[in-house]
Amino acid sequence: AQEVSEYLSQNPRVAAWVEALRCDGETDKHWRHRRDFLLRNAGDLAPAGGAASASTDEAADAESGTRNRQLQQLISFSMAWANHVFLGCRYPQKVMDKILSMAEGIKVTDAPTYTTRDELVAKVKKRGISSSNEGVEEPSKKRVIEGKNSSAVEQDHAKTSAKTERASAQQENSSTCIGSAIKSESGNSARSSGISSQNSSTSDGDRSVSSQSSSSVSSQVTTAGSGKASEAEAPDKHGSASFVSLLKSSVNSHMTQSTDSRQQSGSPKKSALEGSSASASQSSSEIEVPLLGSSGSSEVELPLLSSKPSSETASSGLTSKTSSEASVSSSVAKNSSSSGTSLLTPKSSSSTNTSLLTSKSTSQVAASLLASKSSSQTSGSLVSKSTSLASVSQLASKSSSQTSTSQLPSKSTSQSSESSVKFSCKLTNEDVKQKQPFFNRLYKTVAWKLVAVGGFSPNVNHGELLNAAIEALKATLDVFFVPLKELADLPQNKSSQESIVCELRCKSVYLGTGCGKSKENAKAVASREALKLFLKKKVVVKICKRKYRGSEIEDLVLLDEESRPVNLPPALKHPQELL
Amino acid sequence: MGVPAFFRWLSRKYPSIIVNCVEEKPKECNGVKIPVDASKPNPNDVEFDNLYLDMNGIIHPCTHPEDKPAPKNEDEMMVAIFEYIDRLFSIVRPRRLLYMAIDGVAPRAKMNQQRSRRFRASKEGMEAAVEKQRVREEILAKGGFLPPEEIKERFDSNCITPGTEFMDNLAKCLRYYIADRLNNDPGWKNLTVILSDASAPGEGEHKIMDYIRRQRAQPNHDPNTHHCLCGADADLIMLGLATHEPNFTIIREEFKPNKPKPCGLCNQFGHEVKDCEGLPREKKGKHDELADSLPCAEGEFIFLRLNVLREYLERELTMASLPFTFDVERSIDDWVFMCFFVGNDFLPHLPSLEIRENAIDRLVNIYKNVVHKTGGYLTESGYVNLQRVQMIMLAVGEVEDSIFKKRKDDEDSFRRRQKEKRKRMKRDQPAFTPSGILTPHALGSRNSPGSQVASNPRQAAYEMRMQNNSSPSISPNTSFTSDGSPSPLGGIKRKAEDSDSEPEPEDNVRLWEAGWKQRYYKNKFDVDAADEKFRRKVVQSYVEGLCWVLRYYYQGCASWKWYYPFHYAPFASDFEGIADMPSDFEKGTKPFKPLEQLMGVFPAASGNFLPPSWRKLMSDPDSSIIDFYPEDFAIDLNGKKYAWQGVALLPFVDERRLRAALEEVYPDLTPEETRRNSLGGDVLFVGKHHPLHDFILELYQTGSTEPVEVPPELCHGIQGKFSLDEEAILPDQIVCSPVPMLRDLTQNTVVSINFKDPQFAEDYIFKAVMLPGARKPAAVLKPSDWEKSSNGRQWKPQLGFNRDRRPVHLDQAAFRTLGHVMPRGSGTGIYSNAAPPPVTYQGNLYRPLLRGQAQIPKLMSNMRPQDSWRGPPPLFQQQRFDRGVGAEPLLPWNRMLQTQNAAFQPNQYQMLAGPGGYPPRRDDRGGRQGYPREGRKYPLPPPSGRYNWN
Repeated sequence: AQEVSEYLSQNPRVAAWVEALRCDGETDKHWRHRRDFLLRNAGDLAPAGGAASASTDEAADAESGTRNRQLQQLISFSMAWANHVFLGCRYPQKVMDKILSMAEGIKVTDAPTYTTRDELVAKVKKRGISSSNEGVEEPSKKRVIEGKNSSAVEQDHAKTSAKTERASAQQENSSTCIGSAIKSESGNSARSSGISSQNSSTSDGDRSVSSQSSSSVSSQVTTAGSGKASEAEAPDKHGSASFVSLLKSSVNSHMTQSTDSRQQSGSPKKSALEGSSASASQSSSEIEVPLLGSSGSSEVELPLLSSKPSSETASSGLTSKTSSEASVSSSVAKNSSSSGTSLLTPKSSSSTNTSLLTSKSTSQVAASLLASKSSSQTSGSLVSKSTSLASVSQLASKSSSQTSTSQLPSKSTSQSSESSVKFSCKLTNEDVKQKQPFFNRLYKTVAWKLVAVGGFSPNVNHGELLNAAIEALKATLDVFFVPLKELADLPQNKSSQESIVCELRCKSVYLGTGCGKSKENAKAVASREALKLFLKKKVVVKICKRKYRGSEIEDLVLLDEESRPVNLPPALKHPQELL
Repeated sequence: MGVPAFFRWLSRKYPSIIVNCVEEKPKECNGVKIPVDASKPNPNDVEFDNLYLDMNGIIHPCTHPEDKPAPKNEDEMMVAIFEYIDRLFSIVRPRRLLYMAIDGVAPRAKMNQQRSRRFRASKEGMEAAVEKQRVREEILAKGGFLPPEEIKERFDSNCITPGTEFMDNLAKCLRYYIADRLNNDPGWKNLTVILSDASAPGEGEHKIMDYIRRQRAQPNHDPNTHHCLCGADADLIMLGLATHEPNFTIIREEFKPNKPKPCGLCNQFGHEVKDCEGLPREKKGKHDELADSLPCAEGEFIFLRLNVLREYLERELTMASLPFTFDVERSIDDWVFMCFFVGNDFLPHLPSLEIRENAIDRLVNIYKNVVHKTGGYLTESGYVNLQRVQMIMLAVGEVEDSIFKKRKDDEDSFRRRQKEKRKRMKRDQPAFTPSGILTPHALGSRNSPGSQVASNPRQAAYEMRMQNNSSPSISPNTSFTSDGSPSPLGGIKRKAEDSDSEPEPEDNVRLWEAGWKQRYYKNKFDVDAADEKFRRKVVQSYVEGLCWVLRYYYQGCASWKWYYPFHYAPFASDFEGIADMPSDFEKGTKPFKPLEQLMGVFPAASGNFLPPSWRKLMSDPDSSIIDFYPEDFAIDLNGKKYAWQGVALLPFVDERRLRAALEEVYPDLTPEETRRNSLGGDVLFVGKHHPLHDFILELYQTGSTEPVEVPPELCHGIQGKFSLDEEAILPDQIVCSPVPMLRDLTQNTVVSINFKDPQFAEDYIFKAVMLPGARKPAAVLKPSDWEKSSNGRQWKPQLGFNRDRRPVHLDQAAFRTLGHVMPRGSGTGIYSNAAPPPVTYQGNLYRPLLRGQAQIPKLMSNMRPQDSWRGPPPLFQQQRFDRGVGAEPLLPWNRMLQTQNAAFQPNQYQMLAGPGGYPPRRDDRGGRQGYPREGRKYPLPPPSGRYNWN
């Protein structure tokens, strides 16, 4: 922008020419950007520099007809672009392509975001209200990215902007958490909180990438090299933007990055991605301690996860994925009021149940710890344990084991391999009651997300959507994979092709199962199944019987109101292991 | 005017302005429909001279009705429009003039609103069609039955815009309709009809106003003309007040909320499209004879009497000890002006002024406080004194902050109540049951152990106190704050709780928190608070807008080009230093041509109403105005709940660029389209009995090309210019019916001619004053000093147009019949034992009343012998019905009786006025005006129970 004004001050003729194109009531900011647009695309339409003689005028007169038409068209495109960026309009695809390509390189910071009418109406539709004038209880979010977020926002098209909007919304939420976390714990939490905020704030499918970006942000501090590695992946178009934001290492760098890297994750350049992420995490400090204190309640909850990078590279093929899951799970914020109070209330239940989960794989460390305010020595032990890289999931609370289940963040994949601790306690209605409010909220969140992508359809990324919805509620989607042949109870009709089974859980409630050739496939199928639950009027948590290793067990299962819990797929894990 | 709540607010605050219409319905006899004879006296006890129809208020409900199945094709729509006009005509029964105005091209200032309506309508229509299709397929797949899909296209309500073929066709149909009625309907016999179709520029209601304004300004105008304007828009009230005509009434359909809507698929009531199951229709009545009688099918009409509103306003605005002379007319103008702050079609309303929050009352109070200091009125004949306006605005600005805070508080408490209510509804038991001694016990279980509490009252009271003390500490709220955790998290917690019920809108502006102004400008205008220049620009535009709007209402369109170039209004507190802002407008601006206007207001989806090459400009990526036509646009709910209440953030149309782009496609117009694109004028029609008839025929015979002055003495003082119409309807020429189901008029006597309003110099200022010679109608409201001056008489409120409207009675024959059917004295009725009042009393009561009415046309007065009033019938009525028993079912019956009687009665008015009509009218009017004062002389007011009948 600076060069532009400089250029104009040197070329008064151009300045006068372009100034004449300004609209009535256009703000300075909008005009600055639109002027940029006009000047970039003016070509020979603009009068030549200030020194130019009258000959240009004559030439202009000669072909004024076509020139005038071109000029009008240019003005029109500039207006269309400005309307799109600043007013939230959407044009036919061809026009959109054209104006966005013309606007390449123009950085609009701080553009407002809008909900278009279609989105608004789609929301209403989803909620079963007949027509647009029947009412939207939820008015649009007209958000403006606050001034402090000065990262460059390239608005790709309306959908992207909507995404950004959501992302930033979450970000704001999480940032408050960070603030409190920093307040309660000083020191090393500062950096990790930045990471955790990113994880929790990025939406759906950007998950894998966000972890990458987060690690690269942190690596920026230590080694510049890895930062470049990850940046090299960004397409040229966004290159400079993301670079700037990276340098700033601002919290919101994920916004550009996530969009970039989503595109990548679809592309087959997986190995490169993994490589970068691996290197990034290697270069980062050994232990990352995402800390999230939900200080609304008196408890300090410290889900703690430290991952040794080498193990991640070791786990084949899916590095980025696993790492992301790990880090995502680390950032579970148990913000829901239900959990907060549930910890508070059961003073009466005297049975203190301390469960210890030790994973045999020493390569990975997952320490989750739930410490009530009083037990200060456990938090001390947490620190020691996390440094010794032991995989510890410790639960210290006065509440019964049932209540604490909801508090537990999930484990990373390696931990799912073998951990056989037998549980004897039975599931009760108490558990169901406890979970239900969360899933009511999840139902709403999912509904909104579905609306935002235009309803349930095969071309929606179900996994992303589900995950985003769950993360928006500060919970984690737990994913378990088991090779199909290990499952005893499954009909073995298509075992040859579909070899991996995936089970989705959230808050230890079973959501769905799917199988596929690869883990991705399986997960996609499972998420689709899970999402189908949310298409009916209501979801309920029930205790149902499922098969597990040949025997019947009780499990918490999410059902839609109509479906009968018949023929549930066998469980991949003993539900009580997860508690 | 875009203030839906304005009328509701007005009618609640000033209830007496509303009068229900008495409507005579056409009767059917042996399958033949007998139309209402509108030449009979008006059943509403009032005679109107001029009826003005704002046709768009009629076209919309007739073409896409909300409460009945949509008409199948355009012909049916036309017939529906005709019937609607007939109905209005039979209620109002104008005696001199019928003026029909269809919206023509509107000023540029209105275009933004039209655009946003049409962009939305197009999308809504599309969505409805998709939804219908989906449900239809679903039902058919399930084996349900639906009436076969009509072949016709979906009716795009956007075609009700000047310049479309539909509007052109409508104009043709209306010409036919007028000719038909003038030829055949006795009520239309002496009527002058003016049709201002869509080709004449200007909004319908403003064309009407312009007509009235210009007629008033010429010397032949009758200052006591009784105007009746039909239309539902709130701005008609403003316009009516702005005319300063003493007799001005607005007629509108009564709004009834929650009318049942028929399903769009199967046309049955009781469900919506999405719930349609394709079930067969239930038979209505034994042989399905009631099939067409919809539940509460037709809306009733109401009159809105502006002279009563003026009375109210006079009372409200009168101020004592003013430094200048008080003038009601001027203060009414100021009131109108202040209403524009709250909302109008051309400017967004100020954020702090919300009609639902009594903004007008607030403004009036501020006005009354400030006007002492201003040294004069805010406006004069439609021109604004900005310095005084600034004082008002800044006074509003001072309270702005508290308004926003209060709004938030109200909202919060409303939400809280709602939430608690929901909670209550979910639970079975009440939210709080008192315990201890106050524990409720079922009646009759006195001896149950619960009643023992009385044994130790002190102890019980103490326990209850302690219980109250301890309870707050258990409440979950305290746990959040006990460890001093930061409050924002508490907020999030609460939000998480709430989210279980309803997700709340995010409001980034938060007008109730400090810094609201900065946030508002940042969020709504996307400028920094420091950008003083821009803010100034917004205020400047808004001030211009206020001046423009007021001028538009009082003087006509000041500039066809001006518009407010923002989507939001500034704050009242920003109106600093506006006194020296220029408020003049470019002179000599021209309205858009109809097709140009279509290009300006239609979305690309409605492009089918335009010629192909024009249409291409709306969708072609290479078009040089493609930015005017976004596919989708943002809606800012701006604190509102529903999508249609939100602000549609559509780009503004740049007139120059639009015209430049259209220049290239102008050659593509066909001659027919060129005709449609031209601006036309008004057409005047008269029948053969009208004095003007011969005059106009003469004009056609001489074939003069020069415009000719209308002789005002032939036409109730209407002035203007005639010029010959090439497509005129002429006597003895067949008028072809444009609607297949209606026959051609073979024996036509009607003549039509182009009519042009009287013209005045460009800088002529129409005076906003009551004309000399105008007589104010009798006061309706109870005089404020009634208690002192009335000598203890009871005040009798006036409910109709006529203070002396008598309650309905039955005559002797009726009572004989009733007595026969319902045996009296047998002791069956619950009130049959009540003693009747003395007979003499009744006699005293009624005799003077009759004397007062002898000189005016009055219900049934000629039908019954005067003695009958002394007989027992009134007793019967009073006794049996006045107590409310059976009054409900009898009411319609009585009404019908009344109207029937009115129909039988010889037309006294006609006898007085004669066919020539005009000169004797004044006498008649004098008589009419006179009697209410006589009415005061009644010795005894009737007993209060009688009021039920009015």
